[in-house]
Amino acid sequence: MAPVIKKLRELDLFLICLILLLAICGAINLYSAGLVRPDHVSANLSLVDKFLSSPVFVKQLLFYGVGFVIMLIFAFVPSQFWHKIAPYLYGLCLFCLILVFFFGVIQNGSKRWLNIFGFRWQPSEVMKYAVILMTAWIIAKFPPAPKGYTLRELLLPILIIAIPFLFVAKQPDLGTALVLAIVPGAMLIFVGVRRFVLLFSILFLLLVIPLGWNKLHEYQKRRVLTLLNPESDPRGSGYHILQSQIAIGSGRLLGKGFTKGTQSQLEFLPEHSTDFIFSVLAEEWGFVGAFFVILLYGVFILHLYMMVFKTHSAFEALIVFGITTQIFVNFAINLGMVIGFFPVVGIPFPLLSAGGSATISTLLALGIVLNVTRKLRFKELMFA
Amino acid sequence: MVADKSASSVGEIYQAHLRRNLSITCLLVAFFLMGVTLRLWHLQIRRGDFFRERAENNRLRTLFSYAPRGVVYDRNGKVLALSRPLYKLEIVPEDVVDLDEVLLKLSRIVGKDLKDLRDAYQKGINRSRHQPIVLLNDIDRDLVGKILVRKYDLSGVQIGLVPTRNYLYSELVSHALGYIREISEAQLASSAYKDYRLGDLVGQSGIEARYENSLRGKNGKTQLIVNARGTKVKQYPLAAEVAGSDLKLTIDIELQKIADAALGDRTGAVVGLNPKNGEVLLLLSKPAFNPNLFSEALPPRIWNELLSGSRALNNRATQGTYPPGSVFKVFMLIAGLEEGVINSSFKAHCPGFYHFAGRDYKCHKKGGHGEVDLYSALVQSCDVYFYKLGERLGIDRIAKYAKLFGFGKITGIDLDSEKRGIVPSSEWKKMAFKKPEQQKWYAGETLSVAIGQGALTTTPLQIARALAAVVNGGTLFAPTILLGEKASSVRLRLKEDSLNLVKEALLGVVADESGTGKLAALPKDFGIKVGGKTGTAQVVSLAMIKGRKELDHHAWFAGYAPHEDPEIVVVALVEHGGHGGVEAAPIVGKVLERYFSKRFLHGPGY
Repeated sequence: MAPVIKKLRELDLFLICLILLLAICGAINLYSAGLVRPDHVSANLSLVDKFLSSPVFVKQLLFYGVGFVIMLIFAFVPSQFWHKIAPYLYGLCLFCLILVFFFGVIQNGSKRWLNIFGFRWQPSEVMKYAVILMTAWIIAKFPPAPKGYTLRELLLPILIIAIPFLFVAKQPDLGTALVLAIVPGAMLIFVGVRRFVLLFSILFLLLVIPLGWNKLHEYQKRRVLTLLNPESDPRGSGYHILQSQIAIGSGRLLGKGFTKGTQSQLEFLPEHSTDFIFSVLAEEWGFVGAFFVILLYGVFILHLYMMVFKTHSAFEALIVFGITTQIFVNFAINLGMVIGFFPVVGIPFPLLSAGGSATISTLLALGIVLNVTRKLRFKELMFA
Repeated sequence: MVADKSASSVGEIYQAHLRRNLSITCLLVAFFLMGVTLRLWHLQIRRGDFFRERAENNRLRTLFSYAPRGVVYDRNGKVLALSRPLYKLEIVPEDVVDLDEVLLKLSRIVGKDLKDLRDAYQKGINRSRHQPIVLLNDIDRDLVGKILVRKYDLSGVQIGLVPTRNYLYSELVSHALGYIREISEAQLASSAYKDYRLGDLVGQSGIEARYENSLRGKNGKTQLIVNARGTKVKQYPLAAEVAGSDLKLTIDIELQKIADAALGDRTGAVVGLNPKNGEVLLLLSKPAFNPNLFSEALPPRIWNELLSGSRALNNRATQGTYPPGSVFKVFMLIAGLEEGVINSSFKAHCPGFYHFAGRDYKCHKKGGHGEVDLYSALVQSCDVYFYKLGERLGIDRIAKYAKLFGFGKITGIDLDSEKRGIVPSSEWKKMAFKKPEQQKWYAGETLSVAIGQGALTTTPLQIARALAAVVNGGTLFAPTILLGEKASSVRLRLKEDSLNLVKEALLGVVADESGTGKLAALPKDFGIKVGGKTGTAQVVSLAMIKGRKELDHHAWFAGYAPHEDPEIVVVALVEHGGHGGVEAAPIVGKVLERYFSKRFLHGPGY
């Protein structure tokens, strides 16, 4: 055991504590969100029965457990491994996205899934991370001059970002596509681009947005419009956003109490254990609880960004920056949607929403961060 | 791009520049977090109460149960209006297992098209799935039984119950009772009906409207907690229903029946009052309507007929205004005696007309009555005597006494929309007309008013209470229709001598051989003397002026009995009936006969 503990002590314990704290908050909140018969909680149930009365919670505990183990395992996978496989992983994911485009399974009107031996999975979820690795790889391979990348130099990275973006946007899954483009884009801007390139891209976006608007599906346009006035169609497209705001607002300062949220327990709040998990938290724990989690998340994100310079190579630094930005962008889009800043897009709250693949992949990514920010790595460096 | 061959380290990339970019990133993150916090502050603290209420509205629903409406009795305890359950076939969407199957079974049981039931269901479906949808209204008891027996395999089906009315005598007391009908949109909007809901049945006229609050009782309330699908999660009672209070009316249904039979198919009104306490014993108006029809949706055809055709909704006893004709002479005599312009020995000669201001005013008897005094003038209803009396009094003194007896204003009975009628006077004419030449009062008009014609109009109820005031020694009541309620009254300052003189003459009208109201007399063996006055009011209508058709006169009779100590006043009016003594007097006679027959059979004190 001793060597394992010694190894573990090399890891960023503060970060692990933050992750654990967030997972605990997530578990408590998911217990309430996933309660099947809220009435029976107060009845004389045994502790085990109470535990089992929230199946979403039980499953999520399992995911947290598996995720933590995976995180700790990947904390000891050297970064050279990622550097080696980055282009291949990217290529494989792209191939899968093309397969989805032709042979994907259609569900709820969009083609996002690939059926392999009866197991259904979304290549776009893995692509989120593959594109980060690939971007880090290419930046590390072709670092920018002190003044930053020129437009010509950016052609290859932009291609790397644009191809998966277009495939995913075509599915259509605009939320994921946006995350796919924003995160590597942020990485490129972070390492530096020429000023005129930045100006050019802003101008380009301003031009593309009105054109893109016409390309949007009717339901997507409605979602954007109802954001401006959710009351205009309270039973239809405005329903999610309105019920979410009612849930959050009705929590007031101190909340309605654990498992006492009427909006979530009576299911007025849609998707309350996944996309709208934060509304449940804000309803039951009030402003105080919501603010606490926001603060915790802020410390978590800022701490991760601080880790960017605790790494030992450009590739590693960019991985940390990319993963952190990835988590932050997911967090921001979800939160923005829930509180009525952004239109409704199906993006879960990282580490708080229920869901196996999202939880495990986030924890896996955090495992990579733990690895590249390890202390006491003299030996490894010496004998690398 | 320049290929970087060595494993690049952070230090080799432009470090200061990266540190700056990272700071900007962190700042953006902090900025976003602040924005989120402000938004949460706005939603949870500033608008928290608003959203808390919205959340409560989401989950709380109130179910109402109806209280039975109060029963209405007549003065002898006979039931006039009952609260009867109206059964509705309902279905609760959240409890239905297989809708198609249930509707198919139901359609077989009730013998209706499956399509009709499905349409009713589709029309009623909404987000509140715990709320029953009415499939069929007013189903009979047999069907209720059939459905309840099979309830075990009709998931979600239930029998709803709403109290409605059963008016046992349908048309007989319709105007006094009024009717209940589904609440109108205008009523819903008014503050007086703030705790009513769409579809509630509300008293719309008569007693039903006036005593709506006590008859209605209080509806029961149950609070439900529902989830987003509208399924009931919990329920707890908020208020139990309180049955409406019963009412006992002063009306005697037996008198009502007799008057109805006596009036027959003719249009008119019969009113009976107790002159001692102002209780309304009888209040009949014809044509009448069947109040049982109103609790259901009424076809527009019937509704229009009631409103404009026969105007059956009109309560002619309180809302019909007619010239009183000779009945008014009773009050003319009292005015003359009180003002001292005549006395019992004042005489007039009647040649059959009265020459005044270059015109001959006719008496109804062509040859004339010869010399008449107060007594014979009233008994034979000599117009010339009253022309002279009117000339001596002048219009304003006539108006003063008419108003004293309650004409020209509502009687104050507990029924809505009572009409006032018109008491003409020189002042009234100035108010009623705009052009100066029309505002002048002509002395000739005084003569018309003196015999109860001209612009003078009264309701049958006004005549009844005014006559009651004459025969009870001068007490003018605001008639009451609720048993046990003391009628308010005014004591008129009249000389006993004048009242007695007029009463003697009223007795003569019925008792004397030459009297105009002989047909109102009771059979001799009753031993009860009846007094009264006939009236035959000319009707000047547009039709008549155009010469198309001459309308018959309105026939009046206002009588009372027993003469010595009157306990009932009865007024009958027959619209365009003809002669009062012939058409109206027998109606009053029959009512009085019925009223006193029990006493005759069982002896005094019954």
